[in-house]
Amino acid sequence: MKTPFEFKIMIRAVIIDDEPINTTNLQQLLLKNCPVVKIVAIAYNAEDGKKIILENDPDLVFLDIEMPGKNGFELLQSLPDYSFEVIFVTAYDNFGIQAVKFAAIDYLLKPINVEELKIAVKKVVDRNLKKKNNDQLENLLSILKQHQNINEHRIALPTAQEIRFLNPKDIIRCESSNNYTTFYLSNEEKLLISKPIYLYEELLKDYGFIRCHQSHLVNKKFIKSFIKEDGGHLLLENNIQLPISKQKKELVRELFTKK
Amino acid sequence: MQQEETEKGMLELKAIRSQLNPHFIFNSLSSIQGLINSNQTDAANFYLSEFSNLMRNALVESDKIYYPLEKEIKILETYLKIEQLRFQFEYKITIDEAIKTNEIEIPSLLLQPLVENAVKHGVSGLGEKGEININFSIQDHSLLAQIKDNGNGFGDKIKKEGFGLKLTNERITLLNKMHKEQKIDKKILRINNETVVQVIFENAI
Repeated sequence: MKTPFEFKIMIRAVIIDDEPINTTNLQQLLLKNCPVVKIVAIAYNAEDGKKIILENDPDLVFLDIEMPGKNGFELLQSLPDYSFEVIFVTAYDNFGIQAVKFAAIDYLLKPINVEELKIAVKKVVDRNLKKKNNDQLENLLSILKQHQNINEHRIALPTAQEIRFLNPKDIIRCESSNNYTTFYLSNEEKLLISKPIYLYEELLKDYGFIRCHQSHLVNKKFIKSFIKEDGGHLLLENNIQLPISKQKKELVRELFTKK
Repeated sequence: MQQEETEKGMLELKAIRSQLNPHFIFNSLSSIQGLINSNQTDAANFYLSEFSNLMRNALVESDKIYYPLEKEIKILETYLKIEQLRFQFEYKITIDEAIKTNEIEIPSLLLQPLVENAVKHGVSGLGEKGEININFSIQDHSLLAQIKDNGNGFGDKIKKEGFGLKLTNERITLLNKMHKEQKIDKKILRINNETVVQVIFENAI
């Protein structure tokens, strides 16, 4: 028989948000819906946020992105190491959130949806609280630091076993099977990711990827030629052929006239 | 030709008309959620209806290029009341008695982004010490609107301010091209440790 003690996992968390009403709100929501989380400290600006992280060594940081003075990303950049999980909390989808998605880190939009909060917290619990360096967060910060230099960006792909960090130029193409996306890499490896292809179309559009078909997203630099016969398809460097859907034909044609 | 130019201008103006900043909308909703979850039901009701008023006005007026000054003032007041929930600053709006606020027309929601800047880059970090003063006065035949805040000024935030007000600046440029007799002039000054934004509506009176 299990004793109640075995269930007593506890996540020690801090909240950093410049608005007291938001910190109270999140605290109340956690108390009611995620009793596993214990708030050990709260800060209302980035400076104090840094202090409470260093003092408390938390498992989890709820971090507002937009704050007067330093923002949430700048706060993270000022820390020596990252042995905690982060859930970003923000009012609106902007550049920052694009980078957060690219790094496959969890975020919540305000006002907070309780179900999304529960899912994000559960993920933190599942990562079983081994104190280890947060590679995903380091990757996010490196993307933000050199956001002009997109050749250095690595996209985070959560496979069933681990998180893989890949430079988009090493991805040949993605193929969808409804909720899943298979990544085909230039080293002939295949990765199955349990996220829909439209998410990656959005994340990779600035990295030279084109959605030629509802099931296919392809890196332009691996396209060898555009074959017009039989309704048209794309021939890749590795001799794979990809179909082009009717709606995308104009887009593909434009691509080839520009060249 | 003249006619065509004007029509083109009108279309462009509609395309870049001011809208409420999505950040503000979602932050307000978040504050209201905070009131609900901390059982402050009366306050939640109050802010929810103020927020609805603001949204309603902004939606209804958004296809108008000009509207009475009175409407802009109402919108500013509601906007500031809602932001007070997030940042505990004080504000005051003063209007020279000689100004006929129901008769004078100004471009819709032109001042709101400027006031939003005073909140965001001015008083948001100051808590209860924050102060915003908005003043409307007459200078010869022009209307002068002044928005003052006692924040730290723009400093390194100047880029952000530039970005946030890009749309406002574009609108002013376009309006000035179309109405050469009634130019709008916007200045940002630093006077006695206050940031002052002055907008002059020439020949508005």
